[in-house]
Amino acid sequence: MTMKRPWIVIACAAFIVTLAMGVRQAFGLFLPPMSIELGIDRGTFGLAIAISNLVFGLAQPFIGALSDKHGAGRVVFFGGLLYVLGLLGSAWVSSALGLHLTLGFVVGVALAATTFVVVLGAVGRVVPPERRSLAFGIVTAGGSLGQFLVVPLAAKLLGDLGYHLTLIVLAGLVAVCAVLALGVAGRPTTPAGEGPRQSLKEALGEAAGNRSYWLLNAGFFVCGFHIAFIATHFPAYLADQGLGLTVGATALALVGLFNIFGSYLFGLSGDFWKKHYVLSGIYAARGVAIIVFLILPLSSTSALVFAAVMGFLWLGTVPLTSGLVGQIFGVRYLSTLYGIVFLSHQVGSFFGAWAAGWLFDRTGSYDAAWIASILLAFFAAAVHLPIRDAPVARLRAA
Amino acid sequence: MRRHAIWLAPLALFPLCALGLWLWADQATTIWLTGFFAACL
Repeated sequence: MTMKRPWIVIACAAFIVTLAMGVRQAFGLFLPPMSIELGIDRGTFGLAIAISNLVFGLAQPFIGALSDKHGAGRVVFFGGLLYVLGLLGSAWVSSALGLHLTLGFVVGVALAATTFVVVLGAVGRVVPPERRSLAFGIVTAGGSLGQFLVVPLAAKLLGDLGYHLTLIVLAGLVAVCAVLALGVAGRPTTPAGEGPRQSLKEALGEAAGNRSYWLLNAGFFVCGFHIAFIATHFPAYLADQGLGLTVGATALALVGLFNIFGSYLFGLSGDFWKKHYVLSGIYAARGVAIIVFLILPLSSTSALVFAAVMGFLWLGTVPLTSGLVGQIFGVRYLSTLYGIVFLSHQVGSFFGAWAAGWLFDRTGSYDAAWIASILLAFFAAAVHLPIRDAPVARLRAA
Repeated sequence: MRRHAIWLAPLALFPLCALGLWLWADQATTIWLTGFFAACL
């Protein structure tokens, strides 16, 4: 099967991540009702989400490789079915182990098969290099839109229908991913202009020996750290400082809203300016935003402005980082190579969520975690500057 | 003209954003109280 027209691939990819990322982001809402019904504590429920995130990251390079070999369509199709199974299974489990297997393991694998790494590989193969960053930005904005829309929708359903039926409705939503898989289906081939056929082993060896690839990994680690730290601990920080529920809730909405525009606009900017310089600017802006937020007296206004700014800078790194991987190494093994970079992001997420809490427990404040976030922001800004964004010699020779 | 319009394309999402904001306004406190950010990274 040949690939569809670019706009069909982009639209289907955007809808797939809208659904897959949107539903994923709503899992936290199920904590209170499921904890009560299953008789488990919050830590046990949280472990299911933690397993899901860990499996999501660890499986990503392997599922990316499967996608590069068999095509994104098949991977998204089976990933969509797994997602449905995981959600339906979690609606009927009666034990912590069952929850860890369904919502944790099965959904974790399904996420790796239905989100950015897999679909961006398909998009990269049908879009010309000069428009690739914009296309990646549109797909990333789809994921951001899903997070913004599905979370409050799931909250409403939970209140009206209870958690069993809500999980079934969400399973119905992600089942659409399996249908949309047709739009990203197609046999992966080496695009014209990417030189002689390369094996997966050769592609991995080429990337491993490239300094810029390691710098991208380091930068994306920081992205994961920032997002997980702020997502996990920012609400608690605001509560500690005495700001009310309305401010915290509005801050969450602003992060989601501005993330949509940031994802698109930073993706688009990658077609006009050098991606590694834009990335450097994003990380530096994060550092400056945190410094300004901490220096200014804390108020509702400063918290909301900070949430909007960080939301704008939230996932803008995705189209640029994946775009750089494709630009430097070509798109034949984009899902595999970007999957490894994504694993680095998930490791950063782990440390952002866990280490910030650990530092808080040791010191009684988030000061050390904020300082670490600032230092990491400028570290990431610095490591992107020396990246060589020129295609590798194999592509230049083609 | 077309070159500039592409930067403004996200404005086409305004109706969806308005729907999202309405849903958030309706459910935000619930979402906050159930620890949305703490559980899903």
